[in-house]
Amino acid sequence: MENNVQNLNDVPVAKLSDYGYRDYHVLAKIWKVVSTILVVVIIFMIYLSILIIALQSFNSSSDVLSFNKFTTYWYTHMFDEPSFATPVRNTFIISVAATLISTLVGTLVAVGIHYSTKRFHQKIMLLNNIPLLNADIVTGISIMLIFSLVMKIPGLEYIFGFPTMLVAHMYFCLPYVILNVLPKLKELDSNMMDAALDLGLKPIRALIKVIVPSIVSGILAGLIFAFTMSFDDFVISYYTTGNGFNNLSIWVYSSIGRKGLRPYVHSFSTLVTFGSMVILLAINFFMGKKGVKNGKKH
Amino acid sequence: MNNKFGRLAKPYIIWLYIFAVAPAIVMSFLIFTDMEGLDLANLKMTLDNFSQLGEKSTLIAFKNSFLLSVITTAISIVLGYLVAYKLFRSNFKNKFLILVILILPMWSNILLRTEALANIMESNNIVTTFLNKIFNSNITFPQLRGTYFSVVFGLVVTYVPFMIMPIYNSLEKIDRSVEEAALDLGLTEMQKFWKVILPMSSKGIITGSIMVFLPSLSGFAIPKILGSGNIVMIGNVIEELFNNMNYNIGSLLAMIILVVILFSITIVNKVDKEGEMLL
Amino acid sequence: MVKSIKKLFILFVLLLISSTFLSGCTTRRTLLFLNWGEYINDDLVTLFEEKYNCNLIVDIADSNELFYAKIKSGTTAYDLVCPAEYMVEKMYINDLLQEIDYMKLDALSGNTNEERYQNYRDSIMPGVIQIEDYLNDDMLKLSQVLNFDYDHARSEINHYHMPYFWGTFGLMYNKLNPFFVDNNTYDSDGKFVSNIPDGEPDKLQEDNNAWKVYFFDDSLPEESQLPLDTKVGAYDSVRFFYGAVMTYHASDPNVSVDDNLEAFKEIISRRKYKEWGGDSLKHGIASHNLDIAFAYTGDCLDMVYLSILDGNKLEDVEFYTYTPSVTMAHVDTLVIPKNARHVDLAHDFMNFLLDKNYSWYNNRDIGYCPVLKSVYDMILNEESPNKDEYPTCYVEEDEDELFWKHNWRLAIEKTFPVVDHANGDYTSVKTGIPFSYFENSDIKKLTNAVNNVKTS
Repeated sequence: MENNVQNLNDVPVAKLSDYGYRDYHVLAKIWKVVSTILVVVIIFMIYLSILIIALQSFNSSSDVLSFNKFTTYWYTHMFDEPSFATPVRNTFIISVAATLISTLVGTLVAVGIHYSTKRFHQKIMLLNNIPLLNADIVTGISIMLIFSLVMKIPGLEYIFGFPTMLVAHMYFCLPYVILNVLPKLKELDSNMMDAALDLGLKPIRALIKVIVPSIVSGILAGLIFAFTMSFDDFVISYYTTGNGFNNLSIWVYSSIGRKGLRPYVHSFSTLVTFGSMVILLAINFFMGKKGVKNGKKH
Repeated sequence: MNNKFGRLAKPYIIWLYIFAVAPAIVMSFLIFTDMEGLDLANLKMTLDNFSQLGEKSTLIAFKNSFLLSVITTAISIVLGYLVAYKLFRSNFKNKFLILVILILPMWSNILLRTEALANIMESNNIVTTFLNKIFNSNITFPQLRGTYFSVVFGLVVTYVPFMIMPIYNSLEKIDRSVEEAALDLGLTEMQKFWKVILPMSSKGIITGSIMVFLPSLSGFAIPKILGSGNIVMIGNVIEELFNNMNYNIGSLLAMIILVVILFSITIVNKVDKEGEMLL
Repeated sequence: MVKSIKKLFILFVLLLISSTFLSGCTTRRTLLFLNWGEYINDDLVTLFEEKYNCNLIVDIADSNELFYAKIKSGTTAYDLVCPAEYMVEKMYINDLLQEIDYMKLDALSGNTNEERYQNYRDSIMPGVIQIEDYLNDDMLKLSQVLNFDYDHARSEINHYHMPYFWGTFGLMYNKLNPFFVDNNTYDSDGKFVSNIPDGEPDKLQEDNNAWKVYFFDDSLPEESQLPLDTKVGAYDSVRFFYGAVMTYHASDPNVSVDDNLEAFKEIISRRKYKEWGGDSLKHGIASHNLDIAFAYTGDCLDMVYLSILDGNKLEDVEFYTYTPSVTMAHVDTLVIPKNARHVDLAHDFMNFLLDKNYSWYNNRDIGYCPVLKSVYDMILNEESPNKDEYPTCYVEEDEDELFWKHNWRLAIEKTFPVVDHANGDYTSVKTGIPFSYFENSDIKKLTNAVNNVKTS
């Protein structure tokens, strides 16, 4: 009897882990905390430069490397320097124009691609990747070379400036619109269009009344992408501009050195960032229902 | 009627031929010439331009470009995947807002952002002077500007959003039932991630990598500003050549970049035939 | 949803239309001026626009090579460009410039073009004349090498440009660094005194060691050596940096590249430069992130002026520039490209700057040395433009303005000193050798050499 008890105590008892089960609960919890912190840190890093720019915008000294006194002076005197107001205006002109035209044309092209033959589809999508993936510097130089040749045609000597920059911006904005609209077209019920046509709608009307409303979220995403890229672009604009038409990036690039950038540039930038945040949140509010719907899919 | 709409895409392909294909032909021609700018009157044909490829500085610029952009891409994959996965797992499903959060920094000028990063990488900078004013202290930051670290850091924070988006998109496309099946078949969470989710989101990783790798490879503003002029990448060399009116060698180097890019485009096309993953 | 999109769309269209109108509403003549960044007083732009009823658009380039590229590629038809002397040579040789018509410059007196040019020449600083003469001689040499006609007696090259600002190159340094002892300050009378205590060596000036110190010459005794861990900045324009190295190596910035390439490579690899930059160098020094850098003296004064405007006296500014006794000089000068569209307006701008009051006003913002003797006098006498005649560029003489004018004068006097100003002798003590034109192939060799050092 005693012997038996002894034996029972000696018997090795299998643990859950011996069956291949590991308890990851603690590890999982730690990982959850760590990864959340990491994500916050990464997002913070992405926004780090924005925060520094915001700090610079409240600096009374025009030396960007040293903080003097807190001031909101630059916010009220942003456009006092005419040399700054012009590039800001040009930036808006060029990016709004490029975005609008690209969104309109890009949507039509996307519809065209959607309804074209498979071979053509693949070919155009291959080429469509070039503006998107090509190095900015190569794109900029490419377009400059083409227009340098165009410039040799009499009467077009002064083509560099707004027209060239607009074409260049459209060139790299279009793929963004097309790539955002195409997937939405795919989700479209192909019978819908046929039904609309059967009901006697002209193709153009059918396009506007039937297709566009259902791909509008794609168009909007494309528009935002296109505007962002156009607004932020430096390298391509730098090579394709001329005749005194400068956008903000070019202006910043060339005036970064001398006396340094006065903080009004930073306050403008801060205003744009937070202003656009508000606008985009407002758009999101309009799109609110759609957002929830998307979320419920999962 | 399909043909009617199909015609809408025709002008676009001509547009692409003019601005994407024609310049490549012009550049291929420029490689074999020697002239100042596009001074066609004084054109000379030559093969001398290729000797630049043997220059130590060119080779090192290429090495720097590839090395730094590979490191940038690798770091971006890890960090980008983490963020995308977290967002995907969270209850936060508003894709539009995620997009906004990621692209909002781009609404500030890229040069301003890079200058701001360069600023805080100096030992005496706006943050130290700000803190010293408040706490009456004498803090200095480590001198990071001018090192490889600072360039990689700048590249990662600038381009990681382009990694997050495609990965998030590909994660979103994974069917919930596949995950459930994996768990039902006895896989642990860990195994499920490595064996199911990661392979299924590889498309996103590949497209994201290309979106990060290519601009890092060819950019010149970030290495110029954050590297204090000490770190020369191929984009800087190309910029310098074009600024000195040496279109010939400039075109040669640009064409090499273009070949790398075309190679990447074929990869994209292999991975996804319709090319919709990029965004 | 659709409605909101429509609204957004309409908003965008309105924005577009309004912005296009804003840009298109002026049909005035436009002067396109390609200049260095922050190299013109913004208020002067407005003054010029009002006076001549035109628009003045200032485009910016950050290197002489870029000036050349922009003119040569012709993507923009600039009316006025402001390159340095050696790029003027290159532009002239490549036939990109048109001659200045001095008869259009009413501020000058004389009945013929040559008389007016002489009149102009009489009004400018000797330092500039020195550079102009060097340029003229250099062109004669080049004309023999490159085989073109050149009228040396007429000083032809100098009929193609009109100096805008000039200055020297020097070593800008951080006064707080223990290695440097500021050797020039001013006493209360504005007299030049040395503040080096007896027995202390002046490490920069002794035997004109400045370049040796900067380039780490091993002939210097160890205690005079600038330690290798000093944060040194180098100028990333290869032409300028080659000039600096050769000024040290051969006392001439223009010696042939082929003969000196190896020496150049060796000298620039002695030290690890913390930063290769342009305008960023002066900010580095002002913020104590750099200790010494090779830079335009004018660039240093730019920063000094900012510090004075922040309320610091000249002697309290924490950095300054040291001009070695053998150095380089430069003149940034206005030229009219061949394809300019508003040649008359370009001449108007030159005429405008010949008025000492406007030039003085322009100079307030820019740390370089004025070209006109009369402007130099105004600064040294702490004068202002006449309030009634020039109400637009008159500055109210309050305490701040007086403080500024006094310190401005001290800075100019210290950096661009003249021997005997009171007796009308403007001979500058410190000027230097200007740069001359290099072939593209030479620039390519130098660029490769510099890139090799940067990347090794």
